[in-house]
Amino acid sequence: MSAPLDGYNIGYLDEQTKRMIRRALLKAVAIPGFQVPFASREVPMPRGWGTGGVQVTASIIGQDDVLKVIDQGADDTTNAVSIRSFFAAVAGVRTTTRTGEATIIQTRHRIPETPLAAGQTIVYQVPGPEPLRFLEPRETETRRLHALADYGLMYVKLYEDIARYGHIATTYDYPVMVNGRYLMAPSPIPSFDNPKMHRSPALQLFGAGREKRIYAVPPYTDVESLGFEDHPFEPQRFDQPCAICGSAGVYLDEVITDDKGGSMFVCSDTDHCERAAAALAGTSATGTGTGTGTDTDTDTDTDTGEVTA
Amino acid sequence: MNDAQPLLEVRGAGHAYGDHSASRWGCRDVDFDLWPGEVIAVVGESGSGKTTLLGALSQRLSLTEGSVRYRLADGTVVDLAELSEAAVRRLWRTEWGFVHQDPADGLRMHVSAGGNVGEPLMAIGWRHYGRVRAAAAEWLERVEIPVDRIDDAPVTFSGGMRQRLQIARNLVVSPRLVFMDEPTSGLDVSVQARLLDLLRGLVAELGLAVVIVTHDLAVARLLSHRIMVMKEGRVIETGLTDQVLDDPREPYTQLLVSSILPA
Repeated sequence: MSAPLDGYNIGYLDEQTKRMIRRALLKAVAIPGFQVPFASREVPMPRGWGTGGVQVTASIIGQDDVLKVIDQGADDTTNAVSIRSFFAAVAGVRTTTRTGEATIIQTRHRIPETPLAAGQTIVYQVPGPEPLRFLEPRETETRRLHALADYGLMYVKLYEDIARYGHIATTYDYPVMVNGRYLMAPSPIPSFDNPKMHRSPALQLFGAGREKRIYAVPPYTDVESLGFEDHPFEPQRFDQPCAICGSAGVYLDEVITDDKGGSMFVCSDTDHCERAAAALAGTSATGTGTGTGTDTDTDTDTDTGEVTA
Repeated sequence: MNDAQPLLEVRGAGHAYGDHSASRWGCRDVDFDLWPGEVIAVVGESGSGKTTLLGALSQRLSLTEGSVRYRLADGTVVDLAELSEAAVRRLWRTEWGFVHQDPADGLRMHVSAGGNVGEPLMAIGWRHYGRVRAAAAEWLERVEIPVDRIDDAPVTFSGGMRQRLQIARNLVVSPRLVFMDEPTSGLDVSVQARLLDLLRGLVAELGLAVVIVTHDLAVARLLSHRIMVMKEGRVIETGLTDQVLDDPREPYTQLLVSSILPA
């Protein structure tokens, strides 16, 4: 923790802007899944790089917070590193890569493998907040469809998937029904992560900077992934465990290893992978007893997410 | 069900385009009753207010004056102008259909035929893929579209097939009242004949009430029980179809009937 950058307000945005965004956030929390318009500001990065998430984070961050930023699950990619150092500079907050230690997690395209806990807030960067957009291009019409809860159109998309591919082929940004009322785009997280949103103890906030929309899922809210009775929602599955840490039941990225077609599948969540790999190598590094705090976190992962040792 | 009451009661209906200072009446002073199972044709030349009337009846355009009362499936009679937007949408989903002149207006051109026919079902809460698909296949068969085209998008269909698909999409939820705006006029003559034959069969079989707008008197004669002739936004003559066409009273209707080119 250090003093915030001289000449900047804490969190970069001015206080009036933060108040405006907090009002939008309060409204969003009060109506789970409803897209609240807000006056999106310029932040020192291009639209499409997570400006919505950055504005939400800037509005809720305090100097006692501990921030973690992930991009596709990884803490060490350009986007994650630059947003993390941005907030370290302008808000003077402590940053971490450990999911369990963070109070605010800003994310692009993933939910961490370590289950989120009560008191944590996860901020999603959202490129397209409107789940019906590619089916209905008119904003006036999609708003009307939300107002009347007229969601037959979304099922047309799922129908088309099944008719064409034999199964629902949507694997990311898989539409969800929040609290039995609003259809919501969960941002482009893999459908693998969808079940983690359901009745999560953490507060989930969504910011779309370019599209100027904020929405939220309060803790312990029902988030149901759409499906048909005879073709229910099924999250993605992976056949093999992570090639580095051996975790099964986690989301994997394919990493190209050479130019002869070789590749390996490794955890997309780098924090989880590091800790699982350390546990695999023997817990001596962190070891105070058999199950240290962080390792227990890892092991109580998703239901099948055990570390194979 | 009380069939002693009309399905649609139209009294002094009119719609004006433009704001109050410079408004222009699209149609005015229209009165008629539509009974369950009855087909009424609205004929007249281009610009006579036929489509405006259809829009005003179906709540796509607001009524500037007069009233349209509709008897719901449960028997209660409602004034359409007083219904909420949600209630009107519910009517569209469950009790009404609208067949456009251009099928591209009534279909999702890049969604498969099965998806197009299945959408109204999914909108009213069908959540079983197999059943949606079976219903869609059944309706494709009824409108004489080969069932193996179920996964093809309407952009790959001919004009006649598109129009038949639009009809299937409208009839799949078993509506009670269907509005049709020149359903055959974009098609060539032989396709028109087949489509009319199909429509006549379906209307009789399902007991639909239909308001059909057409400039083609042959379509009116083939499909409708009663006819309304419109000119300059007003209904100038109304009566049984055969009566109006065989023995027109108004000079304009006489002109209209005599303008048909003999084949």
